[in-house]
Amino acid sequence: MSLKPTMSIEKGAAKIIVPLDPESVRKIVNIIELMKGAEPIEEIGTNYMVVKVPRLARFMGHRRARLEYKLYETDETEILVAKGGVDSLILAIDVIDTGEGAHIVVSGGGAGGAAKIVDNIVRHMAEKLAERIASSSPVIELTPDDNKLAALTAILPSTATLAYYDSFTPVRNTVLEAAQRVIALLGPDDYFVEVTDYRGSYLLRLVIRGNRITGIYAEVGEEKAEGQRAITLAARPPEHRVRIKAWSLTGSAEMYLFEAEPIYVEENHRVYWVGGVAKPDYGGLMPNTYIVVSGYEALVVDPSGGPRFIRALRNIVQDLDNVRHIVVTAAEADVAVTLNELVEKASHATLHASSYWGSLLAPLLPNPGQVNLLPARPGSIRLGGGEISIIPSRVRGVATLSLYDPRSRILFAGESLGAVSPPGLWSIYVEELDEYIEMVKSYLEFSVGKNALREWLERVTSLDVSTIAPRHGPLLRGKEKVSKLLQALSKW
Amino acid sequence: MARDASVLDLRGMGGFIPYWSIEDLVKKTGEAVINVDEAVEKLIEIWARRRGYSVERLGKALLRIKAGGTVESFKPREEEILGVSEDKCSNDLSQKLSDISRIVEVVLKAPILYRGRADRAELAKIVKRPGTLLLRFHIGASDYFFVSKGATIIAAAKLGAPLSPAQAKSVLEAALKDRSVSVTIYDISAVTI
Repeated sequence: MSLKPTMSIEKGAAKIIVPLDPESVRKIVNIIELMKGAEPIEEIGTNYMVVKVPRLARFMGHRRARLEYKLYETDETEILVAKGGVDSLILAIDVIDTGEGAHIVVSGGGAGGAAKIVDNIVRHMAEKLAERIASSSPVIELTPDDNKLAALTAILPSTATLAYYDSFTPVRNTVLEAAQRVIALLGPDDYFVEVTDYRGSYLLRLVIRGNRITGIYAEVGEEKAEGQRAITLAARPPEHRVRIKAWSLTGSAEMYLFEAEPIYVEENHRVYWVGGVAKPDYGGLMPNTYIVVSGYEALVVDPSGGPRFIRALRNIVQDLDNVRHIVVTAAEADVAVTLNELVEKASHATLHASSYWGSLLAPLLPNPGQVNLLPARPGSIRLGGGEISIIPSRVRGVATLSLYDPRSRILFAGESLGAVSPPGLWSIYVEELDEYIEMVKSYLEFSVGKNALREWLERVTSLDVSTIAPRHGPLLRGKEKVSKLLQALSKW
Repeated sequence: MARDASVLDLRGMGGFIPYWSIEDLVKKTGEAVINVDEAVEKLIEIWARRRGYSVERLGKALLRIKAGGTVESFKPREEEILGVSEDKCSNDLSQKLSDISRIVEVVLKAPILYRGRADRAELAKIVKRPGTLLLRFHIGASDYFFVSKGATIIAAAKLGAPLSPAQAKSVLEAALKDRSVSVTIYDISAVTI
């Protein structure tokens, strides 16, 4: 059993269809690597290549041509442009997201003698790419111990860290596609994977070691199965889209958390969390982004996570014109990466920031007029039929923002309150309050001024808060826990 | 004060320390001796133990972290089907729910949406419906009643006595684990309790 991609080749272009998301595919695509070994290519250096091109009169054989090349990259395409004398060559690899996997189109064109070698190179690249994808397909070698681990009847190691949270549409076989997705994106390692549908009627758990699936457990409707039988049971989920979470069993250094987690759901008013990209080992700061949807309008708090955040946002609001507000509580590096793309795509949105951070951001944005500078005093933003309150803070010296949504009773604390999340201690929601208080104190001790913090605490303790959603670290749910934390901090 | 060269001096960094360097050192040499800020000593200890290391206090904010300790368990959390929100639970409604005569009246008027085993998948589907629902769990010889709105419990009772949010939570957990428990779900959006 393997995931063989399907391929069709026409003149100058080849199409490969794979049941993987574009980001996983891009991990495998490297235009230079794929060109190596093509019959007309004699040598490839860091910025040049030597190719064999046929002479005008075929009977005279070939001539050698040295072409200088440059690489260009867009969201979907990797392009190589090579020139030398009368010869030029353009090669492109498009990775197109179809929602049910990726279509990879390898194409090329040329001038001079190079025009005659394009087809050969394109075919070689497409075949090599298809071969690579097929060889990265996981193999199933089940062991009794890992079947137990998949069924959670054995204990997972303490180093297990959530490393991947996404959704995808399986094409042929969910078991293999889920495993291949994890291996392609995170690299071969030991993983614990959980795949669920949105209704709670489908559960698949896998243990992956290297590129082998060594444990499997499934619950589909009324049926439960472990090992070999689970492979058939879990092959196709009842719904077309599924969520996937993967924990690195060895403690991964990088996290890809792209699926939006609903943190508050009510008719016409929803709040989501998106984790983005993070490396908790490097300083233990996990960025959080939030999306508030009220009626047809949406507000984004502290966008981060790059292009994949835009995808998660689209899954929620469909039309980015519905994004009316973007609030930057403080303009950190991770915000800057995503902000340009978001303001360009959500062109109807107003960007709100404190006057300091807004002045810093405005010149960097394509349309500075989108920025609304906020004074350091309480205010509000209209969203849907209601309002979101703005709470200014000076915990960082310069003004930053916190927001309060009275409908969901969520306090978006911004940077005024957060947590250091050392590897292994992070989770989406706080699990142990005492542990979390230590994480918060460690964050505050070296990042905020105590007097300004007290001032901010006075402002927020009068609010009816059921969830604290900080810029960094886990979310704290439950009114009782929230008040315990605020009390602990007021005495600190 | 001069420090021993073998001590990794991480003072002045708070909790923002290079965790990967410590782990790398432990991997290579079997242990790491680190000097951290006092304010974060407790957090570093918690972290090290969670990663399966043993921790020894050598002095003020001076820790020895060694490979090999007690491994703590880890389990991905099960998706919560019905949340019990302490602040959304109404005592008044729970009191009414414990009244047998009111309940009989409600269940006679309200349409039934589901009746069967307390299956997580089925429940997950139904409780997300808009409107107000009454869930009646038959556990052993007892009946438990829950009112939910937007997949959150807003009142809970057993016949004759209201349940606190904590009690409601534990009854729900037990009900969803036990395959012998059955449930009837009524749509009470148009009915007043």
